[in-house]
Amino acid sequence: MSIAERLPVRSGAGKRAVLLGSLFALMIVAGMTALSFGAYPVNLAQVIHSLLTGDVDRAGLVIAQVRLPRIVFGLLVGAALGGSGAALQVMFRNPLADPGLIGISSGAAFGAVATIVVGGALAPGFMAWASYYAVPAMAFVGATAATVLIVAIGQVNGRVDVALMLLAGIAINAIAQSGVGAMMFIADDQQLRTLTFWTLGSLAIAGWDALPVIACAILLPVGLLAVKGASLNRLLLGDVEAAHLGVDVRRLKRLVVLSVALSVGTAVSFAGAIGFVGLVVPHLLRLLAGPDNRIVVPGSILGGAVVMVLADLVARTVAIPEDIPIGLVLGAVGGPFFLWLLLARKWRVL
Amino acid sequence: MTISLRQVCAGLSGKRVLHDIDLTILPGQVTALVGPNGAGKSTLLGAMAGDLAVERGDVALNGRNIRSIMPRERALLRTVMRQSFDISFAFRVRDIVEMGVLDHVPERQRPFLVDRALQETDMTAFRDRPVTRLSGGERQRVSFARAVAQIRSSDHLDCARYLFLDEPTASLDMAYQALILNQARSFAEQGLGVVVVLHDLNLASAVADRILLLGGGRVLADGGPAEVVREDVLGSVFGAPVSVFDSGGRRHVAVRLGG
Amino acid sequence: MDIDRFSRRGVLAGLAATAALLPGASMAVQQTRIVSVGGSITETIYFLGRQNLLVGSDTTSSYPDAAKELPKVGYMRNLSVEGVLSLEPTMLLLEEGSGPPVALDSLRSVGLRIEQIADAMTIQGVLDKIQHVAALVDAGPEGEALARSVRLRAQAIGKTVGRVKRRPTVLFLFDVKDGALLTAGRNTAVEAIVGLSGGKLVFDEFEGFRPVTAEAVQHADPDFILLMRHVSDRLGGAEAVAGLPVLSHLRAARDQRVVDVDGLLLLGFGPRTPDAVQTLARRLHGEEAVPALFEPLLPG
Repeated sequence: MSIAERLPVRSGAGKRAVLLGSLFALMIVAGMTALSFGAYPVNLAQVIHSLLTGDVDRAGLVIAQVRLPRIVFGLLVGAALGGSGAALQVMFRNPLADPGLIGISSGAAFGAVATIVVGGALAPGFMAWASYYAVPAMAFVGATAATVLIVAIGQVNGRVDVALMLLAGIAINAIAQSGVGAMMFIADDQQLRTLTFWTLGSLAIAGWDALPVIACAILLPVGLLAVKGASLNRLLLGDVEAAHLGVDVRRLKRLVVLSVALSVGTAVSFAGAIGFVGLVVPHLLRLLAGPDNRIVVPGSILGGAVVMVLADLVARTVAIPEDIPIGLVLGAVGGPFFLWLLLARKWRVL
Repeated sequence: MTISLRQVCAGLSGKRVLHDIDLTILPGQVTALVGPNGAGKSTLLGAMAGDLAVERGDVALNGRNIRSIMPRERALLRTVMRQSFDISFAFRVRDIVEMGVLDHVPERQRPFLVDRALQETDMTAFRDRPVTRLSGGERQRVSFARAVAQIRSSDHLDCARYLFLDEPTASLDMAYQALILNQARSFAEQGLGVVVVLHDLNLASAVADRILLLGGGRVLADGGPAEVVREDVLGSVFGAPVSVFDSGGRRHVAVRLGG
Repeated sequence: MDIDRFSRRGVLAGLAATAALLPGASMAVQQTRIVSVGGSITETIYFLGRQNLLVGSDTTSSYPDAAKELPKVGYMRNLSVEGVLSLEPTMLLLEEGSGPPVALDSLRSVGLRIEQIADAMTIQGVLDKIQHVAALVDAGPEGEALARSVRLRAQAIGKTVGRVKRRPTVLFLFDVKDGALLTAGRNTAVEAIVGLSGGKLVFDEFEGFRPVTAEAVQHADPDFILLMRHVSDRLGGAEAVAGLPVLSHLRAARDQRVVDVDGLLLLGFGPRTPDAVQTLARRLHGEEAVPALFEPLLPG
């Protein structure tokens, strides 16, 4: 019995509201906790007071300009990965789907890396015009191209063939990664440094400048996914069955593809390739609340945000003053945790 | 208000399956689609339900081109039950049935519709079971319960509605075959147009007001059981020697084995 | 860790306060607190006698030994924003190439003064670096003196090296991976220092750092193999390096002509550059051709 079923609330909508409300509160708590810790020692209460009274000191600046933007960014990246993972697992009818597994992250990586290395040479006008946004824009293009290719290859007679899709994902991954390798080979030292930083994955972000664009590019698509829970449930029964129940299947799949590509493409292009969250968080949600996508999708958005911001807290504080790549933290903690989850299920402890 | 097909030619993945189909499905009746394997029964059902675009001709539901009706509205007007469904996650039976309750139904009413559908299909005992642990036959019954929930969602409508059942009895034992077909009959009496694809000619003969016999993508016979269930007709279409006899006021068919 | 930092900060603060009273020192009301990123920059500050202003450095700052004791703010190319800020610096002195750019942007947005020092690959570049740093830490006279000393040494060793006729070929080993060797080509600090020492890089078809195959290495057949000491240590020492499959058949490996030099000394292009040239030149040309002209430069 999941936690959702144990709740003493009658209606389905009521239960969903309680669970999602709790997750939202958890997200706020996680955010506040993350805000309180870092390499720079601050007393959060004092800082908030000083920010409100306009008497801003160095500590206030660190919170406002360095730590808070990073936390907001972390929440957004987590939301993108969590929500997209949940939606993809539904669309591919496969609990193992994850944005990284099916080439979206490596497609974004190739787009970003190619822009860094040959962008200036091939399209100087575009690079000058787009400036700061050139890399994220091309990462998005790469992510979409990879997704569309894989979905197209995986279709047989209008039906999604899961095995074919996974194989297509492996192939596209390999191609994109060799493309990244080729770019690294021809890169000069300066570009190589930029590349390496990108692929390590980090939530470091310089102030608030890019955040409004990032927020729109992530919140809009995952917001659209969050309200499609009922249709996504029906999609799980099969394309034809879903159509019988009133779902415009082609439009829904297009929405999922575009939303995942836009949100994950944006997240990954600014933060580097971060995996794992998209795979594990939806499973955690299903464990807590059952497989109903009216909870799992919005829940994964909130849950992903929580996981990301807490993982970044660890990355920022476990080896002060070093900033550990966040992928390392997710793998080191998330990996064993997921393994435990699988075994606990297998041995019917859960 | 009917479903009418005019000069319909349709196919699957490039291969033409149906040729020049002209027919009208009336509400308030049970129509059985029978015929040998590959005759095109499921394709015809798909065309009638608006699942596939026809290559030639048109399909109209209550006077409107069925493909031009939005999926949401189509779901109100017609319900389809197929043999089984895929599921990769551990939904419970009541969750699957709730997927049949259409979106316009307000939150408060949804659990009642679900429970009612479970009751009508004798599935209340299965309510909280995970579908991943059900047998094929049990899943089929869940499919039917979901279809019932869908129909009950649109009970408020005035216009004619339709129910399509594709081999609904395939994995079921006799008690549940009877339950589903009785329920189908009952829907017809409530005014729905019911179309059932059946392999079993005896069942067709027992439940249907009208039998459409398909062969090679064409309608070879169209009429009541008395007209269609005949040795000469069935023998030539199925290519097997059959015996037809009357018993208990119904037509029965048996394959003649041996020499 | 926190306690250590606190007491160290207290000592440095005390020193800074004392330094403020000395004539010629900074007349600013605020104490100067410098975080220095880049081994050669930190090294220069010590040579200028301004180490009392340092409150932190990066992990590449390994000379002199005292620099290793400074609080660290991360690797030069992966600085931690909050780590830097937690040391309450008034100025961040960076070697060109420090990063990541995002961290530098972030630090600028908080109002931290960031001064970037250009990379050097020539003696003149080293002198410019010294002058630039000296100006920023208010050590004009010391800077002049240091620059003069470095220039004289460079001229002396340059003359001696110039007299040697032959230019031996050198293979630089940056790293070994899967049987391929990562080496340096044109336009690198490696090429510069090898050139100053009277040698020639065996690979000059490409720029920057590239992987080359064992076959290419065989074909190149260098006179010497050069690598940084920490890489040599990692591989088990100079003899083990000579025994690596990708190198073992080379003349240079068989004759034990493997030269390992401290990385910062060799490639840092700081005030000890003439020392590096002397050390390398003596190995490349022999101790008779290149006598020891001067003792190593020491800070303080």
